[in-house]
Amino acid sequence: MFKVGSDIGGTFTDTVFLDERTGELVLGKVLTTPQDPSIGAVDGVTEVLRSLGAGASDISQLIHGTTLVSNAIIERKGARTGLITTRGFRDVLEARTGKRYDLYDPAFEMPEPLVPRFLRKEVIERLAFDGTVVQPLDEAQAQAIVRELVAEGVEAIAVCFLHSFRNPAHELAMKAIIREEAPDIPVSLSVEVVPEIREYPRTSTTAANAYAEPLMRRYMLALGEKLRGQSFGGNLYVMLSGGGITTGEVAARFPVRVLESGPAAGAIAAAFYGQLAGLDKVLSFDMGGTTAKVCFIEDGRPTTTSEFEVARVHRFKSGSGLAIKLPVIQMLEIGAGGGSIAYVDRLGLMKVGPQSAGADPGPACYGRGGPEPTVTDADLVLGYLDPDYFLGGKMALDRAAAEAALRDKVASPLGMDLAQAAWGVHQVVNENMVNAARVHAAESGRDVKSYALVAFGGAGPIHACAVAQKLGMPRVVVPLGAGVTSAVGFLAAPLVFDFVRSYMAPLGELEWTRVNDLLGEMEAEGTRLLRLAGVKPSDITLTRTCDMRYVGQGHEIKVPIPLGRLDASHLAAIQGAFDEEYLRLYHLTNPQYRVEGLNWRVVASGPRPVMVLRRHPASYANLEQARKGERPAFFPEHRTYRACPVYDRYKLFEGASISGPAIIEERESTVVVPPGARATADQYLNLTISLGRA
Amino acid sequence: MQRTFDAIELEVLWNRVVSIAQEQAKTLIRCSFTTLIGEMEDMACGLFDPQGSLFAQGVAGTQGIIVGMGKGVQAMLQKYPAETLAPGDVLIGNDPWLFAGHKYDITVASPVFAGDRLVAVAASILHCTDIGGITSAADSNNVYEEGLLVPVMKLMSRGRVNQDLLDIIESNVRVPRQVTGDLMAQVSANKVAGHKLVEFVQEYGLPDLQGLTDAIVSTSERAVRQAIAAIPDGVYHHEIMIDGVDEPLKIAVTMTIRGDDLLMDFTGTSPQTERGGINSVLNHTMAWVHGAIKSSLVPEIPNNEGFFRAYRVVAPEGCLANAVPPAPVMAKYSLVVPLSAVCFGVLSKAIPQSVIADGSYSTMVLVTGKDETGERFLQWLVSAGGTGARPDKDGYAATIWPANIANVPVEIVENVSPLFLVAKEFVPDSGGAGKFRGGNDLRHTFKVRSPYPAVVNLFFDRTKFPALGYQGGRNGRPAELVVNGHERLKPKQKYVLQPGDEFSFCFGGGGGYYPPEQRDPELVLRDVVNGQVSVDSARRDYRVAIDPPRRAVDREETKRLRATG
Repeated sequence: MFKVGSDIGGTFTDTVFLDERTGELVLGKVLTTPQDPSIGAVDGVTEVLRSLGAGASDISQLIHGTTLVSNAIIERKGARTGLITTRGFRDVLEARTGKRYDLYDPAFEMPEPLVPRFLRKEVIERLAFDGTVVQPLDEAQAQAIVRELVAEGVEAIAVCFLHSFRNPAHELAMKAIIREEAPDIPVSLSVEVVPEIREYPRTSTTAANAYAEPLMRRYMLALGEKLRGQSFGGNLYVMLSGGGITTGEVAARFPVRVLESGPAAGAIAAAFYGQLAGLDKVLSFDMGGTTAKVCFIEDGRPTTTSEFEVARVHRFKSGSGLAIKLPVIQMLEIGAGGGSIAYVDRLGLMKVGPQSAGADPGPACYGRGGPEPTVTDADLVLGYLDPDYFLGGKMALDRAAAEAALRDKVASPLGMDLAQAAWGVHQVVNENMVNAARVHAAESGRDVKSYALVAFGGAGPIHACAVAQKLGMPRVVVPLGAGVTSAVGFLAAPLVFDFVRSYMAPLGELEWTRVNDLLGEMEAEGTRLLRLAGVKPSDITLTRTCDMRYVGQGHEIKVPIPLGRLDASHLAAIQGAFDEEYLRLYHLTNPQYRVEGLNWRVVASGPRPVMVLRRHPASYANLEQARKGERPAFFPEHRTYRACPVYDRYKLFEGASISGPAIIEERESTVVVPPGARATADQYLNLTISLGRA
Repeated sequence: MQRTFDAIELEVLWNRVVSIAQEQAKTLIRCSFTTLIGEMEDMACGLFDPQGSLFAQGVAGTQGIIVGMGKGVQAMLQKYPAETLAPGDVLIGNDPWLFAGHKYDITVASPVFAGDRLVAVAASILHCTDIGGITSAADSNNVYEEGLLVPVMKLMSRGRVNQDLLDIIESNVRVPRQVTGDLMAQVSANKVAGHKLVEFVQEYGLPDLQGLTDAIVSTSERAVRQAIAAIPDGVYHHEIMIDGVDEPLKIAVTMTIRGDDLLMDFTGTSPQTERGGINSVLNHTMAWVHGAIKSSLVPEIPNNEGFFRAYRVVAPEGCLANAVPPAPVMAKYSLVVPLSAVCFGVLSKAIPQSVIADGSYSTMVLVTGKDETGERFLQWLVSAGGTGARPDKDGYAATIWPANIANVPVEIVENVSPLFLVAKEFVPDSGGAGKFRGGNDLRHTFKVRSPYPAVVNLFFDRTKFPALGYQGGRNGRPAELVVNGHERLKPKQKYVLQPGDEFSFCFGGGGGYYPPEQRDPELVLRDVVNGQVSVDSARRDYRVAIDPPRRAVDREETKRLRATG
């Protein structure tokens, strides 16, 4: 039987098959079919099946990731959505937080709300902060509003009432009214999508869910039908933004939960390869054409957070997007990729990115007339890339064009020679990533030096060692097949259901019955859903956290809390866990202040899949056979170009050890091993690079 | 021997120190004890050289206190020169004239030592929740009534907290834990920045930071001067009126450009007020000159001392823009919008293509009283109306400019205080009409769920003088304060709200840009459909005829309306 991962990207749909008997990975790549992406997904599966001589009935489970939801929101191709709010608050969605993402820019632009004002309706109802009813829901008026929205032709309705997370009664009643008036219109309730305090992010998340739901539901139906048509009888799962997988039904109902399924898979894959190399703490580093993404992973688990943004007006400016409050793998995206453009700014300094030459015209060396020098151009000029072996030789690179662009736009204006300028571009883009990673580490109270870097993506393995050295990290892991790494993540993720309830009170004043009730409810529901999906009770893991803060603070930290029935005797342990986490993050605690809990979370997960990869057949045993030749490459340690040996990744073998400087090439990526570093291949041809001192 | 840096080195090192200041700011925001900082980010963080020149600032917080912190750290170093400082020392101060212009803004500065060598000062400034004294700016007659003044002194000495000072502060303020909690958050943030700076110096084997900070400052000054040189030489004048306390006041500015020299002269501005605290110290005035110049000319260059050296600000002593002690100054924020607006206004006469029209007033509404159980509460509501339109786009509703403060979620306000929000909604037709429309106003309506009366401290402006439209754009609608739907209030007072009373406030709409007759009729239609502009205003102001049932522009009629002018 096969376990299959399928990742629909913007251009390609990647498919990865794991033969559960042999551990062999088989990959396929087909073009994405934007009109109906389920066609491409099924094509991808069929293609690999054919090459294996197998049928869809041989697939035990298919795990799916898609950019469908984020693209729909970015491109505004979702449903015509209505929003129903408490009277007086329909503008919460558009008023946002009132803050701008840039302190000084007078030309700032905020994202358009997903629901225009004329489709935002107010209903007479009001709850107090503790959930008590101040004003009952006016059912007749509610009915009239639904009729108005139906007349406007809405295809989905979001409902978000103030304080509903304390008492869902009004939202549930509203849903019943919508069901009666318009049984075919899907309804997203804020208490079901994200029952958490703070009305703007809750409204925004609920509206995004409604906006994407019809599309996602249609898509999941189409995919299911097509697969069943091919006699697929296994389970269909979808990757969550938070890194677990969930059932197709949950994904169709809560599409906002799968917004970041692609990047999540990358982090899970990095976690998997980190563990395969025996590393507990890794920093996932995925550098592609436009962006680099980094993510901290501990004990095989990527860090998650509960808020992010989608559809930013300025991709790298936090605060310029729509707020989404749901679990997501905490990933930092930096405007640094192979296509990032280098230029001289008005201060006379060299800048790289975040503007990218994209795929078309792309870097100058693509020879498509792109006039701007990019990181890839610099990497080519530095000798790291082979102009004749880019994408395995599928695309010849134009070195002369790269040199001309670098000279005209960077070297000449700065009065530098070409090598200096190229090294400058390489260094500045690395520093941009390094600084971003540092701020990211600081925000989460981590010491980056104790992590190893797992590098993938087209440009990742070229820059990984330099970035790791700058961060003071001792080790870099480069999995085989940079273009495939992400898709492997689909196969390594556990089934997960996560829940949240808000209950705000100082620790000393908590009503323990209430705490136990809400935790119990979430755990029972999680267990039920996992059992339903076929997970054995003994394989179920429950974890609890609570978002806590000192009374009066504006931000919370996520603190693990004990399992089982809680009472006042657990206070010390809970307070202790808070102190420990707070100290880790901020270097001090404030014992004189009271601590309060806000959001209570439960994660119910199934077992983590055990994935055994097939060892690489030992066809080679001699490094000389792997050596393709040499070419001049620039390393700052040498201050000039020197002949650098080049190796064929596919001809390496377990235990093969290469000391830098060296270049190791495979089809989709190139590994640069700097002077002083040593790369060692394992039985899967993954490389572990030990770095010399920075 | 001073090191010089090439274009790559300077880029790399400069980015690094800015990212350290950013780590500092993130730490402060996350550690803060109050919604003012945690949710609204009314703060700033910066790194200074041992002479007190700002060389890096975190990209968070508000513009108005940056110059004050910058000048204040210099004052601190005058009192405690570098050679007298030891590792573990932390300085503090809130003198309005030395720092940011009112006592609420507390600066905490921590010298950073690499070994035994002072290499930098990490400082932060934040608006504390309370500083004692009167709560209503409208009642202030002089600065002595405005709470506790903490002169420049040590908050910590060689790592030991000055408990006497903390006791004094805690005994003088209404919410002691929040105030000293935030001070400790500042200490914590500075400490993080200090650690990182030392690591940085060691990593690059720098003897100190002086060469780098000089390069950052001189490079920035040069760039700002270049941008100034691109403005046509000349003398430009602009003046605006504000409500004032008892009578309207004038703010006048004359901008003189000669080559790369820019002088902002506030001569002609009304004298400082004797009551009500609408006064700005020079540091605070400079902050808004700085804001307008940076926004219009070089928004992308990180803040540092280089800016402060690139232009001059003059204001006669004793005027609103350069108040002298013991003037009441607690409501300096009431001049934020006017000072900024007058600077953008004068710049618009020289470079109309790169400014922003006047925006709404923005202020904090402070409500104090007792909750149902008799326990005291104090809660701020912060918001704004519409921003001004730009030469190529509309303004936004409910967005703050030029300050940048997030509002507190209604659900949080209602959880931590007895305030009960009845509505938070846009006000149609309040944004100034224009080819590009000013942002619409946001109206808050609230009650207090308590059997006791509560006090609303009001310090509003723009009730008489609305946000100006630029280049033919119309003005925004003025701010207004209304009780129970009919009783209109004066903008500056301490109003006692009886149980059950409904209080509503709004800040005004933003000004428009270019004449409204030039606006694309389809955009007018969109605004009408969304209830942002009425059918009447469409016809009257934009000269666009809308057919509401069809949701369409009546093209013939529009053509006729626009032709008749």
